[in-house]
Amino acid sequence: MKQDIFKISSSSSTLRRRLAPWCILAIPMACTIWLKYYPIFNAFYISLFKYDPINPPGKFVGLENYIGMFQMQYYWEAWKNSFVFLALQLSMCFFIPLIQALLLNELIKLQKCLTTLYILPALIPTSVNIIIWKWIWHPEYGIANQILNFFGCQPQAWLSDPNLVKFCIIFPGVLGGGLTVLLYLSAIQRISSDILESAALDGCTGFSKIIHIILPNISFMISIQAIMCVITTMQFLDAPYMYASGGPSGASTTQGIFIFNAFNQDLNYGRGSAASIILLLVIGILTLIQMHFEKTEKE
Amino acid sequence: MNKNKIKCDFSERLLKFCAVFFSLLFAALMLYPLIFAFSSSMKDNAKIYDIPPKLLPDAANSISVVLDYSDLNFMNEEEMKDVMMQDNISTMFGLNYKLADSSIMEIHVYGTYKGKTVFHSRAHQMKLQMERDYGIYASSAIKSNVLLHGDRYKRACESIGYTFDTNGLPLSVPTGLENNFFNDVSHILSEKYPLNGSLVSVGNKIKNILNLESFKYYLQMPSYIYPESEHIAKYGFMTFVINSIIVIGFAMIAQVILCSICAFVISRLLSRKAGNFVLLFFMGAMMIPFASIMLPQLIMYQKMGAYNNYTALLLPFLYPYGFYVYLYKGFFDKIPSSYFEAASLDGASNLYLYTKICMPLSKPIISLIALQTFIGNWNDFFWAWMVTEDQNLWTLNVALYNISNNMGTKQNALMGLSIVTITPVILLSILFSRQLKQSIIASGVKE
Repeated sequence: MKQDIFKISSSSSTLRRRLAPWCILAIPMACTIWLKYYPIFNAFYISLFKYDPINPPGKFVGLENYIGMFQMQYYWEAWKNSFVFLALQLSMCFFIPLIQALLLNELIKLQKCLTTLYILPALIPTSVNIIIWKWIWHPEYGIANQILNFFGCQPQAWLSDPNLVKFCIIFPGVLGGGLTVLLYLSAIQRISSDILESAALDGCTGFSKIIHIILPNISFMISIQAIMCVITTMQFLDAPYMYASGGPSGASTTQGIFIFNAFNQDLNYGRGSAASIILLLVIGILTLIQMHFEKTEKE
Repeated sequence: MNKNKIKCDFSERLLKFCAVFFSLLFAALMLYPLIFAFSSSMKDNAKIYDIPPKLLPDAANSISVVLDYSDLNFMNEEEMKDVMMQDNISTMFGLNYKLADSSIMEIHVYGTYKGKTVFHSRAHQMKLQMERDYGIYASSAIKSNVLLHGDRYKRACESIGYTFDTNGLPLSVPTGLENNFFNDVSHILSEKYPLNGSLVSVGNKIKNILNLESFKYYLQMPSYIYPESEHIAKYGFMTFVINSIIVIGFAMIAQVILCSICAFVISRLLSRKAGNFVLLFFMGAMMIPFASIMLPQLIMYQKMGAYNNYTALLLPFLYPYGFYVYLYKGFFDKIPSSYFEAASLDGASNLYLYTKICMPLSKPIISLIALQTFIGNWNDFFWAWMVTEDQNLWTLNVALYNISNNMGTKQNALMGLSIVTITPVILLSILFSRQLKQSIIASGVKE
C-alpha cells in the first residue's frame, strides 16, 4: 500500500520522501546515542585508564583495572551476594505471584477488587516500604522479634546481622502482589475455553486442572518471568542500599553497590567502570537468552 | 459415572474454598503493613515504643489548664503578658515532657484575671515535640530555668500562637470536663515548674480527631529539620511532592510525545526492514541496565554541569524508551491505511497526518504510555539521590530516605509522611484501576 503512494509522487520528491523520516528520527536517535550509548563506550574507555577526574583521562593502564578487580575478594563477594539474593528470590518470592494468580482465577466476585489490591505493592515507593519494614525488623520494638518471643525463640538483630540481612531484604516480597500477578492472570485467562471445557468433561477439575492444564499452558510466561527475575536481581541496587547501605560488613553489597562504592568511597573511576562493563556483559547475555526464549515461543 | 461426578464436584469445591481462603489471607497480609503504618502514624511519641505494638492508637486526651492571676499585682499590660507567657511555656513543655505516657495530644492554657479570661494558648503535642526536637528547644533539657532562659519563651509562644487581651477574650473557660489529671499536674507543676499564677483547674476530655491532626505537623516537619533551605522552610513536605510531580510529569509528557513521533515514522514512513532496525536501536538503549550506566552517566552529566539541578533530574527522560515506541507502533500499525492514503492524495503533509489523524485516534495508547511511565519511574531513587545535594531538589523517594536516616526523626512522623506519600497513589490507582490493569497487561503481552 505504501509503495503505491510513492509511485504516485513525482521522482524529484522521491528523494525528499526518503530522507524526511530520517530527518525526523535524527533528534531522538541522537539523544539516545548521547544519553545511553555514549556513556557505555565512555565507561569502557575509562576502564582502560587509571582515571584522574581532574585532568582526564589520566594514565593508560590497559586491562589492569580488570585484573586488579578480579583479584579483589570484595568483588567476588559482591557476585556471591547477588547469587544468594537470586537464590532467595527464586525460592521465597518467585512462586508467590503465580500462586496468587492461580487462586484469583478461581474467584468470581472478589477477583476485580483483589487484582486492584495486588497492584498496590508495585506502586508503593521503595522508601516507604523500607520505612515500614525497617520498623518491623527493629531489634527492640519490631514485630519480628515479638513474634519470635511469642514462640519462645531468641531475638535476632535482623538487619544488623550479616547472616540474616539478605533474608530481611528479600522477605517483604513474600507478601506477593505486584504487576506479575496481573501478567500471570491475563496469561491464564487467555487459555482457550475449549481446552478447559474438554478437560472438565474428562473429569479434570480442581487442583488436577491447575496442574495438568493451566500450568503447562502458561509455562512460557513462567520462564519469561524467571529470566526477568534473574535480570532484575542481578541489578539489585535500591533496596539493599536503602535497607543497609551494603552492610553489615559488606553482606548486602550487590554489583550496583560495588560500582557505587568504587566511585564514591574509593574514588576509583577505572575500577567502577570495569565493574560496569562486566555487569553489562552478564546482563546482556541474560537478555539474549530471554529474547531467544520469546522467539522460540512465537514460532 | 455418578461417583466420578461427586468426586470432581468435591475437588472443584475444595479448590474454590482454598482460593477464597488463601486470597483473603494474602490480601490481609498485604494490607497489614499499610494498616500498621497508618495506626503508627496516629500514635504519639511514647506509644510507638509500646511492646507489644498495638494495632489501634490510644484515645487522645485534650487537657485544659486554667491559671488564675487575680492575686498578683501587675505594673502594666506588658508585664502581665510576659508572666502569662512564661507560665504558658512552663506548663505546656513541662506536662508534655513529664506526662508523655498519658496520650495528651492537646494542651489548652487559660489565664484568668479578676473573673475575665485574658490569655489563651493552645498547642498540639506534635508541635511541642517538634520545638523540642528541632526548634527553639532543640537539644536542651526540659527544665524550668532552661525553658525560660533569655527570650526563648517568647519565641516559643509566638511559634505556638496565643491570644491576649486585658479586656477579656470572647471565650470562657471550658466547664464540665473530667478531672483525671489534676493531682498529677499540680504535683508536677509545683515541684518542677513553679508558676506565677495559681492553678485553678485541670480538665480533660477525649478528642480522637487530634490523632489525625498530627498529620498537619508531619507535613511541616521538614521545614524544621532543614530550616536553611528556603523552599522547604516555606512549603514543608510539599516541596518534595512538587519535585516529584515535576519529574514524573516531565517524564510522562516527554515519553508520550517522543515515542509517538518515533513510532509514527517507523510505522508509516519507513520500510519494514529500516523500521525494525530503528526499533531495535531504541530497544537496545532501554535494555542497558541502570547499575552499569550510572557511573559513566554521572561523570558525563557532571562535565556538562547537569549536577545538583533540575537538568540532572529531567535529562534522563529525554530519549524515547524503546518499549513504548514498540507499543505505539503496534497501535499505529492497526490504524487502517486508507485514512492515510486518502489524506496523502489530498496533498497532506506528514505533520498533518501525525497531528490530525494519528494523535486524535490514539487516546487509549497515550493514557497507556503515560501510566506505564508513571509506574516505571515514579519509584526511581538512585539517580535522583546521586545527583541532588540540594534539599530543595529532593523527590519524594529521596526525601523519605534522607529523613528516615536522620536519627532524630520519630517513627510516627516517618509513618505519617509515608502515608501522605502513598495515599494519593492508592486512591488514584483504585479510581483508574481499569486503565491500570489494561496497561499492565498490554506491557506483558508481546504478541
